[in-house]
Amino acid sequence: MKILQLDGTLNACQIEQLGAANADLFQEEMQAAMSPELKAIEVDFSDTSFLDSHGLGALLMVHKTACNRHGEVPLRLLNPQPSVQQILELTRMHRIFEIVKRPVVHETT
Amino acid sequence: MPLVLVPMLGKNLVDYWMEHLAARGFSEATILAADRPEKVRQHVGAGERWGVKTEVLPVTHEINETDARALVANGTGAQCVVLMEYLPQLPAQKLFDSYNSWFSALSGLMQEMNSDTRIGVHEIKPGIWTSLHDAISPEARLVAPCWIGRDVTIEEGAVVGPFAIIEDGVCVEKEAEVAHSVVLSDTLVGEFTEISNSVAWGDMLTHIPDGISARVPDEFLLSPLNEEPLRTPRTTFIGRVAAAALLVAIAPFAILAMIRSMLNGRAYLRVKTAVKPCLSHSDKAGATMTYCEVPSRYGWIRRWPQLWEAVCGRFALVGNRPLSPEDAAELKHDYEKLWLSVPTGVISLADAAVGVERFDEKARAHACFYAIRADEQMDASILYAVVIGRPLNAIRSTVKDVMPVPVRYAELDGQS
Repeated sequence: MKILQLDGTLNACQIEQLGAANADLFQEEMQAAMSPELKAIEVDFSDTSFLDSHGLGALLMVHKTACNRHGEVPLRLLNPQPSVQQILELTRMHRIFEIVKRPVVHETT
Repeated sequence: MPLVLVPMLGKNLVDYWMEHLAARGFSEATILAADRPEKVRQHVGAGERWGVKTEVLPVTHEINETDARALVANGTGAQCVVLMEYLPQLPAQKLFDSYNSWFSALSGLMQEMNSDTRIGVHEIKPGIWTSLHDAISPEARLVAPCWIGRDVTIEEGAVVGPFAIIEDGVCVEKEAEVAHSVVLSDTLVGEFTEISNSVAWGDMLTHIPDGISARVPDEFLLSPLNEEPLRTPRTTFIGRVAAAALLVAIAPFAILAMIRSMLNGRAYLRVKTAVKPCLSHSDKAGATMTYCEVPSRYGWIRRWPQLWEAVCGRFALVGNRPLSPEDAAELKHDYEKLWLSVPTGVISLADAAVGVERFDEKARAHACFYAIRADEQMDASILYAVVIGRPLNAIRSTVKDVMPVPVRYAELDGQS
């Protein structure tokens, strides 16, 4: 898992799964990485093959913390795989998080 | 059902638009859907039916044309962005402003119907349209204009029309009358029932001029013909037996807690109110039920009386925990409302995951996840985690704390 902030956007990528094993860690690291100039959060789900209720809870907590600290902050989920997108749609999380399909540019450093 | 999939003269709004796009030579389409995109995707597939490569993208809310253009076009060369709020045949007639506007659009569509473009549709008399596999009694009276969908039964003495739209799979029984109304798919219009200026669907009746809806409790007047429960209650025999076993196993501790509470001058049971889940179309939203708790700080003892509810079938052994009306009122988002779409349970996924009863974002995430994924296997794993896994872990960690730390032989050798 890699977390970095670019121009007010907090990016998380290289997440193979978001479940019981790492959801708390993901939440803690994302919350710790939120800077005062945070404008948006983007979580790249293109490598994520597994998402469960722990992962959904962590995403909700990250979004809630960001909104409490910085006002309305959109949380975008980039390029989810079909199985993950199905969970997001069936749980109606697509009404909370923006699901975006677009190429993701990772910082190489 | 999402609005775009509601039948309108045998097809839905997505069908009309996809046909329109295909006829105009479009090769690709993207549908932005806020309401149940998975159902829209299930209906359109990849667009093979129309020869238009189609993708359904979920969006957080209903968006306007500018936002849609920004979201989809975004420099990718999309030629056309339309809001599906009207039929392509009737661009001036908005569909979703009110029931009146919707009915006006349907009436307009019916009058523009052309049997040459609809396979299986026949104009048996001017303004009277019927479809395949209809069973219309010769003693029924059809008054133009009216539309009768596929697999419709109209019995003797029934009067359909004028301006009646009967969708697929409807049964209009003897002497019933339908005029200036729409009867949506798989609805029974019972004997002598008169429907006028209304939309009937299952047991719901909506008055078109003012949009007021009411549920018709009498099945012989109006009822769904193929009602599927929103969720099958899983109060299985095995679940009841397991609940009974737990009830017996915990009984001594629960009785002790009750006696202690009585000796302290308090009630031995606390009566609580919870909102009933909506498991079938007939369940009234917001209806409440009562259940009991034993005053105790231990979850299993506290929930002991609920095991009896599980034995009786009022609760499931595994489900989402009961919510007070105050807590239920806090469920605003769609994902949160899924909490009440499965049976109330003695134990929940949140119990297995975190071991503590709570009502925060994480508990809501567990509840909505359980609502979409619940099956026997998941119930069994939750039961195992709560009844065996967690207590075992607790015992292991206690033993670890009590036992002395093993001394390595290498360390002893070094000391000697």
